Amino acid sequence: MSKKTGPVLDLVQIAAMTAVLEAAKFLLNALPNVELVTVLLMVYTVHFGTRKAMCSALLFALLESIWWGISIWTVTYFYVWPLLVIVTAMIPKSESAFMYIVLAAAYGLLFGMLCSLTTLVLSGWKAAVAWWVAGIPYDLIHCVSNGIVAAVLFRPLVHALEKLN
Amino acid sequence: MTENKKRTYAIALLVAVALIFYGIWGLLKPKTQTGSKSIVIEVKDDQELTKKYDMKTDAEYLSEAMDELRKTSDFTYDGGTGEYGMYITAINGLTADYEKDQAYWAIYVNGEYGQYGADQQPVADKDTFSFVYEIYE
Repeated sequence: MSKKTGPVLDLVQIAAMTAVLEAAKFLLNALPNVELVTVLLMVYTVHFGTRKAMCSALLFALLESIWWGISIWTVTYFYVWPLLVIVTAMIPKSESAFMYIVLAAAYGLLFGMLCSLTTLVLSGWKAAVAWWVAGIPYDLIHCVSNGIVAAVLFRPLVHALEKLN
Repeated sequence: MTENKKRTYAIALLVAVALIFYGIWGLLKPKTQTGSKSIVIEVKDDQELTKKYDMKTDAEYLSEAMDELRKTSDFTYDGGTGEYGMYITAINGLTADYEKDQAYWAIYVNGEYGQYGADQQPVADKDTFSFVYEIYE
């Protein structure tokens, strides 16, 4: 778990966490529906705590918006990733890695539905439902890939960060 | 509740939701039309010049019609697959570079902004599909 740190070290940690998120997103851009952002944010929440993970999630959303420009999907990042941090923080620390793997898979499955909330606000429920339904096959892939990625990486990443402490 | 029971319930719930979503997709996905259809594909470039292609096709989805069209005319396109299906980067040699100037190729179906990517957009008889070079503002 995170040690007590000063504000400068906190800032450096958050910057490094966000840089890793950006690098991970960039590396896997070519593989649709396979991403490391979900598992990384869960690991950050468990290891560094909710506050730092939330800062990193918001900074990540901001950087994506600067890089790609403000669009529907960059706006979704401002609530989709912070929500993941909140849900992860609600899992009791005593839980095994299994619950985090289930959460990662569930998040992949619900990702399109969560993102369609922006379309709901901007274009109404018909457009939002059409958008969500069209993306369901991709959400199913996202669910499976997130589950596999979390099963492979969640525990090793948490252990690696604990060793660094 | 034992750990094993909890795990079984969690997996069962996840699979159940996935199956419900799959069922919803099966019920509500855009319906396609089999058989021959007459359609129009238009390309409006960055100079607002429009090129029109009339074609007959058995294609059920727009991307299939585009593949047919590029074999029989000077129509060309480039694209890839993103998180939510096919996206188009270039048409007739004109690349829309979103990273550079927030340009993209929009799809209009019978004058309405399209809800689907080209690989999920159903083709119906007498449809007009317009590819329009747009800048996001």
